[in-house]
Amino acid sequence: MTDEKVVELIKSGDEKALEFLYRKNYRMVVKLIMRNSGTEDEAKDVFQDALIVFWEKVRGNRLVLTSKISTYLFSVAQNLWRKELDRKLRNSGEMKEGVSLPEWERQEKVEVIQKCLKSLSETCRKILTLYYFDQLSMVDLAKEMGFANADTAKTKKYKCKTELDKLVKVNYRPSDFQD
Amino acid sequence: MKYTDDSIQQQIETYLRQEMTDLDRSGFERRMHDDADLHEEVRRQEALIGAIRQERILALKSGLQNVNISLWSTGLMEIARIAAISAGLGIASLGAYYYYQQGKAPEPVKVVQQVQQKSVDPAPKVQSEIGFNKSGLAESGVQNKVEESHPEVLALNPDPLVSGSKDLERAANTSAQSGTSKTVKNSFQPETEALEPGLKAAQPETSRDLAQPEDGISGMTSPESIQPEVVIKRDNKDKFHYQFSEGKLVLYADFNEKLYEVLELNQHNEKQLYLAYDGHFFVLDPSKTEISPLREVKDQNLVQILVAYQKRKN
Repeated sequence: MTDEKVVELIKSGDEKALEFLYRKNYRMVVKLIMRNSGTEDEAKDVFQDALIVFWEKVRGNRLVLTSKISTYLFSVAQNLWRKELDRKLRNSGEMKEGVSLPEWERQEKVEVIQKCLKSLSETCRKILTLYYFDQLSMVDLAKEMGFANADTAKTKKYKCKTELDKLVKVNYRPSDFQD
Repeated sequence: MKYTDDSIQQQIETYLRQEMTDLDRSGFERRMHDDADLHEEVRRQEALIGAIRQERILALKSGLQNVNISLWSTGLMEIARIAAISAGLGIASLGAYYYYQQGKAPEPVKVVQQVQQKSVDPAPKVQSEIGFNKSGLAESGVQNKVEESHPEVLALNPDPLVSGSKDLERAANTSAQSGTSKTVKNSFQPETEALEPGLKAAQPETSRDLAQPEDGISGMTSPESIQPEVVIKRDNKDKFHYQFSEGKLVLYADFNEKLYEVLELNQHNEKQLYLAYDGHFFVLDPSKTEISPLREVKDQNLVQILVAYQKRKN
């Protein structure tokens, strides 16, 4: 499969293209991470994150490829792993000083919102995902969801978001979102 | 609740998607700083978008987690690849070794009478002779191919004057055109004493025939073949006689319907020629310049060696 074909498939939302890239480049990224004090599991995580970055950028038409996809993925994975190493180093320092970030609190919030998301209809979940994750424009969202036009897509998205807001407000106090 | 209207929601989204200009951004952040409700709404929206994104990321990751990584991506396959390459190199080395060994091995003489187009003699009155023309072989440059495709030792077609000669010529022409020599089966005409049309001795066998030490005769093959030209004279009076004359082996014999073959063995560091004919072997002594009778080999050990050698050749 050529790079052009991969991009084309991702633009159309075909996850098979992602699986193809994963298979094709897995060994290269695992080597990179394992040679830099990582484990294979960490390599998997990093590589999956790199693929997701690639997916988002292609889906959102925010990527102009000037190199091969494998080269791009390699450099994204490299950057992500560097950040992860920095984070590890920082965390180990903080642990020594007896300070820990309330990471679990943030995660708890996310989990509650995800529960609310699951209460939404399938269509609403898809609309919100395509808009907030894939970052599709209203025109593309309308196309992908089969709506008449961008205005319809905008209205639908607004309604879905309002519904989610309501659900979250039921489950959360306003202070839960204060810094 | 005052930030639930669409326009402020749009602004919050634009801010969170980092699509504001620097000026708008700093203005919006100042407003957030001064307005706790706006700040809270932004954080809430941020958490919502974050959760939506995370859900999708988890779904994609879970899909990737189920992808079966092929063996080519694992270290195991790396080892298998190295092993395969090593095996390939080993086989290639072995092949090169045997090729080298065969290249060094001497090759025995095997006389094959063969049609050569340019040697067909048009003169009808000349005494019958079969010229084993080495230079002709060199010119044709195809003898090894002949040996591979026609392992049988072949006899002669004695008469260029009879109708078969045209067939021979055609065969020779064909062989010259196609680049492969053709051997001709015996179609001897006993009453004719015409000159043999340039049939010639075979070049040494291909080297692959020599690398078979199991029969114990490879070591007896000569490093340098004598390769005499063979002339056959059908003379009833001197039947089964021979002589070496001017470097040619002249056979006085009626080789009617039978195939003959000259074999060369290296015995006791000396080359020795033998004539194989009709299941018997005869000694050929190059020092015999006078017409001498063909002496049959009686030594059974030698006969066995010659039989084995002849079988292997054919």
